[in-house]
Amino acid sequence: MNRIYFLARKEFIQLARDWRTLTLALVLPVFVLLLFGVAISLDVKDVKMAVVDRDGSRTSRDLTLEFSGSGYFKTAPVGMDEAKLMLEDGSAMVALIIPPHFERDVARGSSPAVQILVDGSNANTGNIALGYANGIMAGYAFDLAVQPIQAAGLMPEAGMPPIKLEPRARFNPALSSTTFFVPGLVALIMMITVVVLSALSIVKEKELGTLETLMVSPLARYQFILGKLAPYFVLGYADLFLILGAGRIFFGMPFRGSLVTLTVLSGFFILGGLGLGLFISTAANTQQTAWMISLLVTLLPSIILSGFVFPIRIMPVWLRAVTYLFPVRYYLTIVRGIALKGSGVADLKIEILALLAIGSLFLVSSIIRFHKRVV
Amino acid sequence: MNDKRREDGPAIKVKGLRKEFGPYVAVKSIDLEVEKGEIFGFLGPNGAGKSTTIRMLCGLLRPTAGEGTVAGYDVLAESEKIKRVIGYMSQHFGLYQDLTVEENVEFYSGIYLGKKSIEVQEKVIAELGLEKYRKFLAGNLSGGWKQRLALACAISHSPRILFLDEPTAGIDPTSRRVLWDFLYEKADQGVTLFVTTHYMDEAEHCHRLGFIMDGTLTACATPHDIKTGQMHGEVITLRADDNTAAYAALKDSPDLLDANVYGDSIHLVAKSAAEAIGRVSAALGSAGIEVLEIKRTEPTIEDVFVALSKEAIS
Repeated sequence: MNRIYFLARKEFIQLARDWRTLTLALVLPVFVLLLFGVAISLDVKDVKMAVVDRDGSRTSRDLTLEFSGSGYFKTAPVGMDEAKLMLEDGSAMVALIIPPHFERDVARGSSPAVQILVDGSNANTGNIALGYANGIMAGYAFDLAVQPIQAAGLMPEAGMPPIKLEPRARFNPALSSTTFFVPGLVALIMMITVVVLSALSIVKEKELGTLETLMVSPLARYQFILGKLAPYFVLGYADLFLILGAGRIFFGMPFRGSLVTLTVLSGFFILGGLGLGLFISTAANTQQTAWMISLLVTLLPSIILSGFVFPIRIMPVWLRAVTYLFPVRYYLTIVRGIALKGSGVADLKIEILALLAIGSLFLVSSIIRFHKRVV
Repeated sequence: MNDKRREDGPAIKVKGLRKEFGPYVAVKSIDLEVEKGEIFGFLGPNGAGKSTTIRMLCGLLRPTAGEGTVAGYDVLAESEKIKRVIGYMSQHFGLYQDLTVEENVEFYSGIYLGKKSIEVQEKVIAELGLEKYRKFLAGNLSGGWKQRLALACAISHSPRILFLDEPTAGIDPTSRRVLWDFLYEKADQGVTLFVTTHYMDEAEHCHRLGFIMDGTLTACATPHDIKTGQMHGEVITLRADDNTAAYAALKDSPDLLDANVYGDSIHLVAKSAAEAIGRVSAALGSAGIEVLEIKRTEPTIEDVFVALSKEAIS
């Protein structure tokens, strides 16, 4: 016990003096969060829309107003040729083309076709914009159908669309991508901090030759591992609270579930990450190699395979199978569940069990791999 | 074996110690016995297997074959027990450059002794004269002071055997002196010292020397016996007005076994010194090189070292 204390204390002193690592662990996460929240927002807002009104009637102007009034689109009336140019040079993302005789055809009930052109080069935003445009069109069509009946003092009857479909996202009603990103960022940053820093701290001792000196000391294997990794366990927690706090302060991210539950479960996640870091340190002999391996096994899976950016359910089956191997996948679901939905342990038992199983597998296998003898 | 017998028996006793790294044999077979309180000098060219042997004795490397005890504990089965009672100071001892002198001592004594370390920290700092540097970062110390600090860290737990792998490499003569005075003192107190060095004057001061060449212990005796018994040939010391020219003229001479430049003189090795002196003098005279002094001398450790190394190569 005493030996662990001396090792952990040494590690804390070194960490406190190493402002580069501290910056990496404590400032960078907040910076990345702000970046995601402000600059790389995937929210669709004020999409530039070129409107080619070839009818010029009251009805066509109403339709245009529906778009500009929605807040999602910023309309600009232009001619056909200009609209094409705007789509090409990117000054408009969407073009709305209202055909001639639009008002007349609407009055006759002959369903005129309104054309919407979307710049597909930015598939994500384009898709979302198209979705909004469809919604607005549907709403407008419904109003058109219902208004004359109501104007005549009658109630809509059978044959008319009886219900207006209003899709509404739960838990994140504004579909704010920031709210969705913060939990993902928690997982990403914690994974990187814990794995990279713990692996580096051990490999650094290898490089400097201090590890050899520790190997000749009576420090037992478990004492070495516990003392060495303790500071990074604390750092992992610091990142958790830092990102959750910053998400709340800067982006008003809700936290609906139990902080205690999340804290306990995060401990398992951090332990798994430390195990992975330890494992990497047994394989790498230089800090550079350790960096590369840890970034490869943390950054890529955390971003691509965790559901952080790309939803897992749209992945091909084999890739979905791969995601099951990474604890970050479960942890992400847990953080999102607890923070955004207020889920409890019962709702997340599969994820919790999987996190526990894979985390302890990492930890145990790396402890077995780590020897006090060089060869 | 009880602890009493462990402390009374030989400090190191190994037989047939061997280490292979894949197809490469670093240490072939080493038999060695070092007495308690002895200063044992372990010499050999770079790559001969010195560090590998030390690492096996310290329990850092598992021997491929062989058996024996260090401090009375089995090198194969009880390496963790060995680690408690030995100290190890390598060439690049693991000082933490970003910790102060004091923190380094606290750390190393702490992982050996736990809570009890607090009592010894001050004693060790005082013993090696580190008081005025206690708040300095280890990284800011000069080479000599770094080695002193390393020694302080290595001995804070009062080890019974101290392994020193080139403890004085690259430090100034004064620090070297201080370090050795300290080591002698420890040996007097009964600590066994196992030292590797490339400094022949340091080797002269060891109680016994072992020469390792190519993974084999080729000689093991007191410095005196090494000098008299291990040299195949006699040594002639030559001083000429132009040593460089003299060396060039003699280095391939068929009358000599070997020739090496040492400072302001040249050491020649010949089967018979008396015979060679005449021939060498004549050869130099005809080459127009004036001989200032030529005489038979006792071989130094360095002569033996060089001769043994060259034998191993050829």
